[in-house]
Amino acid sequence: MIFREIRPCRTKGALEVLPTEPVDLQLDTVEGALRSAKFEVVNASILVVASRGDIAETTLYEDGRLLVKSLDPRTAHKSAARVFEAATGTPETSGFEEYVAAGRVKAKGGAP
Amino acid sequence: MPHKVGMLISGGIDSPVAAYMLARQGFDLVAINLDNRPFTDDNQFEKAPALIRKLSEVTGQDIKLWVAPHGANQVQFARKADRHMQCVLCRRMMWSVAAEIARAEGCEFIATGESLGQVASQTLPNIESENAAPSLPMLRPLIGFDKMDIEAIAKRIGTYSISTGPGACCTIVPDKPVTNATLLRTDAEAAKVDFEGMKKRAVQEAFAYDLQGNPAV
Repeated sequence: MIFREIRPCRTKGALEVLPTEPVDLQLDTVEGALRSAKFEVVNASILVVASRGDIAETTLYEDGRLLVKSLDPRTAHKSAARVFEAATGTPETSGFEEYVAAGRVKAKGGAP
Repeated sequence: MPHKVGMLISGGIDSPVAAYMLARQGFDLVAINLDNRPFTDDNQFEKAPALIRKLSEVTGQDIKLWVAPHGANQVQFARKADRHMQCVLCRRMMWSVAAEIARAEGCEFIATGESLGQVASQTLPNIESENAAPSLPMLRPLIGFDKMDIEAIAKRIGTYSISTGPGACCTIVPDKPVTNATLLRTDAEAAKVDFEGMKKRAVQEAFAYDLQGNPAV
């Protein structure tokens, strides 16, 4: 599992997905990697916003934290996994149900 | 003849209440929203027209809503200026763009829903340093209100449920926003970007809606 937790953000308007291992991303490099994976990208230097037809719009920060503009944890997991894999090369090998079973989903819709 | 004011409407709880207070004092309202996407979401963006419809209902005014792009300007600040100054520069730009639109609409003032200390960056030094840029005087009808007072009015006029509906917060807010900006520092940071050019583009790309959501001239 590449994520430690899926939880509501501070204002509960989106879901935050935290990586298991700390990372220090170079976002200019990440921007190129995301574009290669056919994401539309806005690079604001301290964060990138990635969008693509198959995910909810996702913001990725330098420390690997992701903010997904959805309140559905399953969508958040899928979106975060696709962006994180494209950005870091680390594939997600666990399904959403495994996160639920492990108690890592702290949002509505994540109860085991 | 009533005074005309360009009212910044964000989608939050405070600005519709400020608008209501001004309308109650006899001001004619022109609403202005700065579109902060992709640093907020569509839900947040759609709150402004919903709030204007409600405000039109409670004030009896036919309020026009202007929407100007702001996300691209946020990118420039994030890339070129001191990270901790993001919110100060963001607001200076919003006031400046709003003032230009308001001036073209024949307004004598612009107004915001700010009240002191409600967010970390909403302090007197910051407000002073943000004030320098807009070309119209600014009104802040809620400056001394506390949150409970504002929420009570929002509930009474029916805007509270709209403002507190689903919507993502701003994702580009820094961890430690500056709370004691000076005019000198803000000017220096604003000089790192093409502030005037960015403002002009936002004003040129702004568009207006009427209450039915149709383009308004």
